[in-house]
Amino acid sequence: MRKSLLCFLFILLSVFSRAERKYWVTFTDKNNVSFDPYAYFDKAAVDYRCSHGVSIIDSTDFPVNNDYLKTVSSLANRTTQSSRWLNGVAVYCTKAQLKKISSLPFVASVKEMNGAHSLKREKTIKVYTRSDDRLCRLLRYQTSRMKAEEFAKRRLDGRGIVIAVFDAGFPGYKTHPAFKHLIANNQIVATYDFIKGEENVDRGHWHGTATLSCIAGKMDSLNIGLATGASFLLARTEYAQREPFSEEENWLAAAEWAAKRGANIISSSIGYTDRRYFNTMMNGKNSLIARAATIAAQKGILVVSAAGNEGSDKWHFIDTPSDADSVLTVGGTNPHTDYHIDFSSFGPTSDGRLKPNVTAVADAIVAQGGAYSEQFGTSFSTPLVAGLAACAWQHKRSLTNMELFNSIEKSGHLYPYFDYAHGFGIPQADKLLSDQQEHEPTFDFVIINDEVKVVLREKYSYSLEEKSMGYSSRRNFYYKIEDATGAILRYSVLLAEQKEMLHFNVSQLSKGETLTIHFEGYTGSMDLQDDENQK
Amino acid sequence: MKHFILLFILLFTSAAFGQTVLIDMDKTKETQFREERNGQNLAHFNQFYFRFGAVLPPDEKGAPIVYGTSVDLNFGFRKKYKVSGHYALGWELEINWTDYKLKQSKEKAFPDSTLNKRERLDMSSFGLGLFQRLNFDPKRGNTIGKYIEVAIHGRFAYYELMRKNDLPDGSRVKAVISGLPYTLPFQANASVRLGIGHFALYANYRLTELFKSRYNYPSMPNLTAGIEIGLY
Repeated sequence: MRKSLLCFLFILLSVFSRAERKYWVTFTDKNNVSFDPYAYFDKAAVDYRCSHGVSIIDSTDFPVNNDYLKTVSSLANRTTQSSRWLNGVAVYCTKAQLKKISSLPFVASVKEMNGAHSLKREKTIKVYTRSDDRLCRLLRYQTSRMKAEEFAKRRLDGRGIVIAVFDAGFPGYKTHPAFKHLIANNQIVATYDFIKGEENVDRGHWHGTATLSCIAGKMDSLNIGLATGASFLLARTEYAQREPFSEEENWLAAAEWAAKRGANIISSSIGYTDRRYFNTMMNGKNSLIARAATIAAQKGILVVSAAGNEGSDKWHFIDTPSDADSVLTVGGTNPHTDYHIDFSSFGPTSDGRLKPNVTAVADAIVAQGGAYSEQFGTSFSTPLVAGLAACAWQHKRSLTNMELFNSIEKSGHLYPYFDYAHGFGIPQADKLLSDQQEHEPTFDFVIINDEVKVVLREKYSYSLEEKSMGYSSRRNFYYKIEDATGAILRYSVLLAEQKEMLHFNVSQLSKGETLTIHFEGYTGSMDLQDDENQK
Repeated sequence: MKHFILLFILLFTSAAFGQTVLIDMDKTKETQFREERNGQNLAHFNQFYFRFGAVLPPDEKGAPIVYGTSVDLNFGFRKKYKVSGHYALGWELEINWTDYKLKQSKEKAFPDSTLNKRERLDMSSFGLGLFQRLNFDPKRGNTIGKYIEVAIHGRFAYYELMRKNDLPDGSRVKAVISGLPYTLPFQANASVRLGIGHFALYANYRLTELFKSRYNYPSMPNLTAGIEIGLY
């Protein structure tokens, strides 16, 4: 009996420890490979690259050396995805096999890949009927908060822009009324399921259908997102109920596929946190997906990514790939209060860079199942901004992806003010369409001896008139204190309920620190202990 | 120091003016990355757990057991100290309840040969354990991961013998006998656990006798096994 138990334990242990592990093998070079960009890229990709100064002959697009792949495959138990961009391949092998692979002269590095699995968290708040008043109000607000009507006036709907959406599946996208126009006009250019390795993406989790609707969906005459005229590449990279590391490989493969197919924008409401990483690793360099997103940006693609929903969790900070420098990271605001929604992840990155870059409403109406529902998450803020980016790019097609990135930041309703909850605020279509104008001051720093007061101007003293979704956006008063390096030491949002908002003695403050205030479109700052430097 | 004075002043002024603070984030709390020390794969990890298992054969001659309904329950708290990605150690406090259902058959000799309608020996104990954990996935994030764990426990136990019988008038009588003179209060146990995240399979082997040797009673089965669920 004891022998059989020991045997059982041994077998269990063997299964558990699994001598086979997964590694990412990177090669030293791409010698002896041939590459014809006109054969590899779709015409749209070639046209886009040529018109935007992105080289069509770039060694990172060259194929991986097939001999290298064959040799590694023969030594490993099996290989999965290979990547042109990272010049490598994922392999499953034992330690002994790994030793042989590592000693190959063309292997530059070998890195073990984490295989942590976790359950996803999703929350459906309410499924509405179309006649519901709250649904219509919220639906109008999620686009009007970005002044979408300014795009509509100029008939900007993202036409000519190719948006790649990476998610956990798009069940029902062919039949849901929200996407009737996309199907009728053949706006879904291509689809690919990177989990199954086939084209059908009409399956998986509803999350992708919902995010797609926040870019281009419609509910009768109302737009759910802004880019109803854009073209789409739909990629399933995520499992529904678990998160193996292969999802990051899928994301990388999908990004290469999207670049090949001529994508201009990637909208990705996907992020990885403590199941694989520590938040101190969120510097845009550690994860495979962040490196893939960075290369995608180098290829001229605007990568829009969700900040994450960990703001009220222990993790607290943004996830990856939103930690990457070239990724437009989107946080969430509450449409009822117009400031940060509690679950939206906070910046900065672990190396101190500003994140999120911008925000959008994170309590949105989306297409789900055969109906429409209210959902919470930065997953839905992100496609709203991706849709706005498509319209802005349609308007100024000559912009490069990073110029557009900067324009979107500058169009934030708080710009030039930023903080780690809101970034530069909610992008505004009118600011993207016209040269931005200086806003007249809405408050004054009143300095009497050592006393400093921040007083709202009469015209901008608080008003209860403008109520849209509960509170009025007019009443939020933002301030922050930065040190000499620009790092934010403290930031706050107050309800502007009286004329005199702040009051303090300047002699008690530290040198080199800057107090910056934003109220009603105007940002002013003063260097503490240097009242001559009021800006 | 000045910074804190500024924070105080700003907060004071906010309060003095009766302002509503919607968000207030400061460097010492929210805007700075800190090296966390408490977490599933950090320096310290605290966890409550629950185990549910079964008493496993073999039994000794004279003390046949009803398997399947003889169960083992544990509830405990553990503190884990990370040494490296591969290795951790720690201690755990737990309460245990093991229920041995005694089969009423001819060979029964414990505690006597009397056949009852039902009879069981309950052992409740309080234990302190030390464990070592070997993780198979050192490059995981802040997760428990996959591991094998070896533990030893010392337990102080309290025993009760319960008997149920039907009387001729159809009623049932239940007897609970405590303060059993033949039991030993101290036990030593060794455990092996194989875990993935919050779930683990465990096997526990009792290393010491249950009964005083001078009574010459057959012992209860040494082995219990089942599943463990970490509560967070």
